[in-house]
Amino acid sequence: MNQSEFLSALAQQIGSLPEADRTASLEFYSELIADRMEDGLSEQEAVAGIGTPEEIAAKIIEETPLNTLVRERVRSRRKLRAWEIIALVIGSPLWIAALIVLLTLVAVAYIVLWVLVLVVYIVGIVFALTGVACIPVGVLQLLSGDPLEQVLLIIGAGLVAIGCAILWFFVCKWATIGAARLSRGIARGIKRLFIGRRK
Amino acid sequence: MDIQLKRGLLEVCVLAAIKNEDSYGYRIIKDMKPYTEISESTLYPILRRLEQQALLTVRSMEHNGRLRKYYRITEAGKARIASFRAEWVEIDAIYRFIVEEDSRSESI
Repeated sequence: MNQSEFLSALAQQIGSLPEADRTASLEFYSELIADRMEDGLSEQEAVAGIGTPEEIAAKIIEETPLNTLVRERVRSRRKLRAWEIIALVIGSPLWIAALIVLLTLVAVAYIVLWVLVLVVYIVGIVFALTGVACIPVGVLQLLSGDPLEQVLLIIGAGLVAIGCAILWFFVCKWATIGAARLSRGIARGIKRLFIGRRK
Repeated sequence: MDIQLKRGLLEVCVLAAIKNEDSYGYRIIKDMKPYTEISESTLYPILRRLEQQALLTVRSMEHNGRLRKYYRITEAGKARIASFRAEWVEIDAIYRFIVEEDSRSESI
């Protein structure tokens, strides 16, 4: 690698740093390479002996405090060049429509998720109501003289339904927790889509 | 050597390298070589940190038609060297105790 290849590789690796830090780092290393060449090394040797751009960039970024990196990322996102602004405006019908579709899909996903949870609860309620209803029906049948096996069957079914409802309570709880976790996961995924990964 | 320990030591080393006269990156590395290996990628972050802590100052001077950065120690930097030397007396005493105890148990 020659000097300019090295320096542009390094410049790319430290692109997330503020401009002043980037300039200072590049100046230091171009100066170092120049000093080594002055000492008799060839350009290739001078560049080869100081480490790879990746290693050097990693050490510099490691030293840079996190808030500087975040601040620089926020700042560089807000700065828009003229052509970027024009492209955004011209393309707006397209990306606005795409954004609406995306948001609608997300909203639908949420609605479907919580409707499913509601269905789970309704099933539980149906179990409970059925069970509870069977008891008076069974008693009425007993009083009106229906065969005993029939009465016992109905009351038995009612008790089974009530038992199921009680167990179903746990299914409801599990469904609610699962749905909450899923919603949080969806929200986080959307955030990551827009804000991007942090180094 | 423990990384954190080495970092702290290298900082004082660099300060010592520029204590008596201003120096520049390449020369600091060469001056330190007989005593301890310091890589170029390690030196630069150290110089930055020392500058942030105001233990040295930087200025650019012309050399052979290009600019070269020279580092100069500050009073605070000199004080750092002095406190390191003072700490070392205590570290040395502890070291001698450890060596004595360690050698004694071997001879038993």
